[in-house]
Amino acid sequence: MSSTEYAHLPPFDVVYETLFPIIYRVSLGVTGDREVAEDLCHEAFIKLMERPDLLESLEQSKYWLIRVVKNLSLNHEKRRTRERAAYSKYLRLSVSTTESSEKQVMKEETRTDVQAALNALPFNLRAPLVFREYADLSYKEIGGILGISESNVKVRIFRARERLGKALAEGDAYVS
Amino acid sequence: MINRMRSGIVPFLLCLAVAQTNAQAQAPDTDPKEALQELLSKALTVTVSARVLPPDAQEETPIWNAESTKLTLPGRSIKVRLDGDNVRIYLICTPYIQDNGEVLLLAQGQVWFTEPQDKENRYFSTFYSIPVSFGEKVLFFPLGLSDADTQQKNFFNIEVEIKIVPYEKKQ
Amino acid sequence: MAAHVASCERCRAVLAGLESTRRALAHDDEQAWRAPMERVRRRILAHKPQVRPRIAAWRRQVSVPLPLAVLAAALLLTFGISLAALAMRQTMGYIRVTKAPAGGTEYQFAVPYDKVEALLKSMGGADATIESVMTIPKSVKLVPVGEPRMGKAGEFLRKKP
Repeated sequence: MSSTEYAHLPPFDVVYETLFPIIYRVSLGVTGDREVAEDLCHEAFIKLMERPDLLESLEQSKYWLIRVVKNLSLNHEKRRTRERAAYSKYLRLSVSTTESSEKQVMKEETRTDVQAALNALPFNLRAPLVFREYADLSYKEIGGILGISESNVKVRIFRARERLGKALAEGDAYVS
Repeated sequence: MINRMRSGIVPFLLCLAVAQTNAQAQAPDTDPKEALQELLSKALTVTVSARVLPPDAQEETPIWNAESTKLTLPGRSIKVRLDGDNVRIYLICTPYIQDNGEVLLLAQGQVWFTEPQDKENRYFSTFYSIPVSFGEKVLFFPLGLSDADTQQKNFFNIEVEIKIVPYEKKQ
Repeated sequence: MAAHVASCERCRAVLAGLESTRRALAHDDEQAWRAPMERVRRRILAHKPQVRPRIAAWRRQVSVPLPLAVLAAALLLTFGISLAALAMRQTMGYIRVTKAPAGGTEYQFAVPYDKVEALLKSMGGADATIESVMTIPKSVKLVPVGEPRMGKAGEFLRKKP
């Protein structure tokens, strides 16, 4: 960003470090695949670099990035439905286990279980739940991203939580 | 398939050309001279007479008057400007001919006025729509109309008279 | 609603389950995203924007189905003929007088405006301009005495002695 026109805007690095954790969690939550989530984040932030006008507001950038992630993840989801079994097996293998305390191990396993339970949800339930829980978007904003009404968003999130809760209860997930 | 299309294109173009010719033929493509004569038959003579009347108004004889006669067409405006020492008046008149043959006069009066004492500028603008017959007089008082009881001494009434008649070519 | 939840065991259980789910989703630590952030940062820094080769406009090819191209050509030809006809009519000029369906007469003028002006000027004399100016003598002092008024002459009664 060398243009003097955008000299007053925060540096891209600041925006990146502030928003990456949120965008990554959203991407991972929606896709269930860390490698795919990294690819999505890479592509989304590359696109953001081409839109310096968005850097004026972090909220605006966040909203825009999540919309990009949603579109990219939807494409991924279509591929995923065809390769569902292979992906879920890959997910379990890709989670790194570290030699640490039992608590750490249990946390890792819980994350995997939660992600697996999320992956089991259909995209139209998983996406709004992830946007709400990981990006802290309002129902209205989620509706804007997914192109559905606010009330529809609430219904979908409720159903997603219900199903996720049942899946986690069956798997005895650890919750601190 | 291409051969079939080629055999269809030529008649299609011919149809278009014929349609275009027909469209032109349907329009009354009048000779320009006749057309202008047609215009003249609709032309209107607008006479604007401006008068400044003395304060007491007992005398109809104005202390000043001027007259202007304009030729125009229905829907075409004529403009008259009156320049005074501390006032400028615009009168824009647009006559229209209604279906019943009467005239509908649309007029806009604009007045730019400077107060003699404090030199403050004022502006008035008013729109009027008046149905009149040919020859019927219309009066415009750009600075208002006062009666003898309220008149101030040494100040005059100004009135503008408008009359519209069909144009008659002088022989 | 809070009162109902406090009194209804079933709803309390459902709410507790939902809250547990939310806590599970919120569970996170920095290790989860720190490493991916650095990896993605390195990839972004290594990214070079793609530059599309510019193709000269005259060399660009547009693929159009043949029937569409033929139709477009035919329409262009017709349009060209119409334009030429219109141009001819403009120089000759025309006035179309038609009766409007709702009554009244419609005039459509295609005569050049300066011809109309010239015609009207010739009838009006040397000073037949659109705007006429009347100069009021300076000795005449004018002041507004009321609101501007306009109407038929008969509406204004003048007091007679």
